Amino acid sequence: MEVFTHALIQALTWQNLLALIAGGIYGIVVGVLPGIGSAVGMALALPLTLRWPPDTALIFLCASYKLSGYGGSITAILLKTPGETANAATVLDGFPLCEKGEGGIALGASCAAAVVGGLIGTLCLIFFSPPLARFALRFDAAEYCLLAILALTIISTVIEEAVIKGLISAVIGLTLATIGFDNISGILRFTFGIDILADGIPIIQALVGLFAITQAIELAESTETISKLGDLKGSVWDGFKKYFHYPWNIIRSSLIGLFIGILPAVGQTTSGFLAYMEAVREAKHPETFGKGNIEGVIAPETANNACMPGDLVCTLSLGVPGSVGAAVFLGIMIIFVIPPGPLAFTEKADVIYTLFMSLLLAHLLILAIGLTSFKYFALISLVPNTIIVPTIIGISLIGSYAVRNSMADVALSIVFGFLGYMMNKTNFSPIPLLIGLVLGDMVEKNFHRALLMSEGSLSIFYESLISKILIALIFLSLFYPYISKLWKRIRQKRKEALP
Amino acid sequence: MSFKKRLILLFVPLLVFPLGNAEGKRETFPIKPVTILCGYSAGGSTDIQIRTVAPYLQKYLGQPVIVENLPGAAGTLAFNKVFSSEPDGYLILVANLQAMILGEYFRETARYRTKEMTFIYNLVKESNILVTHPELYGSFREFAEAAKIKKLKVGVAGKWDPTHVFTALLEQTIKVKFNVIPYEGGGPAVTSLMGKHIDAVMTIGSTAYDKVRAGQIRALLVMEKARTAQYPDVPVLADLGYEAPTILYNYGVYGPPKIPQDRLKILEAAFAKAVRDPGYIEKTKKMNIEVYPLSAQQFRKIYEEQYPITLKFAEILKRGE
Repeated sequence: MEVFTHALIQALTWQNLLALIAGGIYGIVVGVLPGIGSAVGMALALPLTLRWPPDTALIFLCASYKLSGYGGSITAILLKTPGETANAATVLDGFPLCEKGEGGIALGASCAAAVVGGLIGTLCLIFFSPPLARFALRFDAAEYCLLAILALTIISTVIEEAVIKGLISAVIGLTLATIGFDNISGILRFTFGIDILADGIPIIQALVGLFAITQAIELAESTETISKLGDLKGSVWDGFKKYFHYPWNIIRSSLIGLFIGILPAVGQTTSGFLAYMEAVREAKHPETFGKGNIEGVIAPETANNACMPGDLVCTLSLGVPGSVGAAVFLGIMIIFVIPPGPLAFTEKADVIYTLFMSLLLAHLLILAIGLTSFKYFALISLVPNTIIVPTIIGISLIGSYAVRNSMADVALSIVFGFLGYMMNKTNFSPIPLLIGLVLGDMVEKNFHRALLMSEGSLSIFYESLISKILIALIFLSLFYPYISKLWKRIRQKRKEALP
Repeated sequence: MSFKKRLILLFVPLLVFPLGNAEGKRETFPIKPVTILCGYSAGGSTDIQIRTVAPYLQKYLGQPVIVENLPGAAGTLAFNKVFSSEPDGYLILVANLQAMILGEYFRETARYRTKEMTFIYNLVKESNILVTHPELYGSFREFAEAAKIKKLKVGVAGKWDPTHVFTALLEQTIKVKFNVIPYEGGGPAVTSLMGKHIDAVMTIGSTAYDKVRAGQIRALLVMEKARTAQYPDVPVLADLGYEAPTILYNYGVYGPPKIPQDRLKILEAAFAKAVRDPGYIEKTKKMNIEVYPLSAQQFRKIYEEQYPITLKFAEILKRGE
């Protein structure tokens, strides 16, 4: 206990508190900018922090990491342009809510999600890291491959209305995922001599194009405002309170987020979509999703925010990167001579526990920022498109450029922008494309690696207990619609038979 | 300040500038920030090396030093960019020598020629080590015995990564064949090892150091000529009676071909002073970085020595496909 009180005092020193607030605000800015993800944001701030004491620097970076996911939800809801890949699922219901003039409510719910999901994740990080990390280590290529296949079944819930078009979009995504250097065979595939594609289609550039640019072109069609009402209904506080009406959704989404978070090879994007899918599946009126259901904001945002501290579980307790952002964080720890892994807890315990305390305090910061400034953010939906459109295009292309200072990336975003626009016009949703792009890479890489490890034997995919459970879940997920229909019919027949 | 005084002040730079130029170009370089391009993302091993030295370099260069990351295609995007840039000394590259040689040999994206680059200064060197899970093998002998009986799974940081070449060197030396598993970086490979999904990983000494110290993984072998200060208890191949060529694993700074001699000298001198700065020496000691300063000339000589050895194993790898 003493270590915690000491850490709390340390976290409350003025430098560290200032670092927390500055890092948090910086994180929100990073989150709001579509091209700049949390990892790039941390990398950009790195030179600045190198001269600070280690705990202050780590607090700044960690706060920016934590709050960037939260900042990303603001633009996802208000502008249909997720600031981070993690917020992609939030667009599905967040933006329709905003169009109905309920942007404030959605923002309130996402604020509550950031606090609750984040707190659950952070408390698990502090108290249960070692066993969680041990569990994560049981996953390897075969399990990751199966998990990615399970996640791909998400597509089925997103495309309910236009099955064929949804599948086509997903296949485009999966095909695009094959572009680039294949790390197992060592062959450069489908790059057509374009160097920038050597590592595959960068997700961030695709995201900027498919959402930000597409949305900007669409908004440019009219001079109206995003909120069709021209007015706002409900406040941020209403949304905040409404969040707690869905305890089951909160628990489920937090667990999904945490689970995906602790697995080193799966990112936040997957956690958001998985939580969304589960929310749709468990809902009494699944048809209301995609048209502005508040649960469609609560689920992915709670999961994202639980996922981020989850990413740090393996990073801190094992010293292995839990995500791209966590890898940057790990490098920063090395620069500050903090041994990543179990030694950090004995040799630099003061720094680590101060970091934990600051992470907890970061939630107060989210609460403060969310409840005070978000009502002004929500006003964005009342700004005429003539101002919004050039702003979105400018900011998102700068972000797209900043990732690796490359104009080719900007061109790529624009190409994806037009692709997204044409898809929307012809009723192809770009969401399955994004899911295919994110997961296709993961399925293929791990499938290939698993076979390499087993020297060609497929048995590796069902040997471990986790694999067996995952296979069962895949089948359950694929046949769930039929099973539930069958179940309903049986119940109805019984009812008819009873009287 | 009165208007007159301000006016006079405005002219001061005008007076100073021609004087500076009169003394010759040598004193004026650098007149703007120097950018060091890193072909990997921030926080990675190459990035850490250069960011550690950058503040000291800045001190002796007298101009801000900016570290820029251009990750992609195993570093070759950055290598290409510097190779084809203006040789004015304002854009230079930090890279691992092996990664450059291997990129040039294996990657279609490579459009640079390592040989033609201006070798500026070598900063540090690292050792490649073979690590295993503590519950799997107690010593390298045990590992080598097991490798003769069945094909062991050895993780490397990437296809045709330097760690892959070191693995090939080990295979050749102890005359076994591994099932080499490429990962997306050394981190994921070690993660897989910690879950006991593979038998061993070829990785970089300093990144594994804390995990070895914590007992999470066990170091079996250091791929060096003689034992290192970092791993005094871990044998090298020569200790075990094997004879093998040594591949150096060093990080240095390069410029585009044909940087003017005077500018090269200024850059070289600044690096030489930076690596001898007490602050830098203290920092590298704490971080377990082995400083390995080589002047431009020595650095090129190392390249000429290393090139045929690396190429030999690269060819073995390619034939093995």
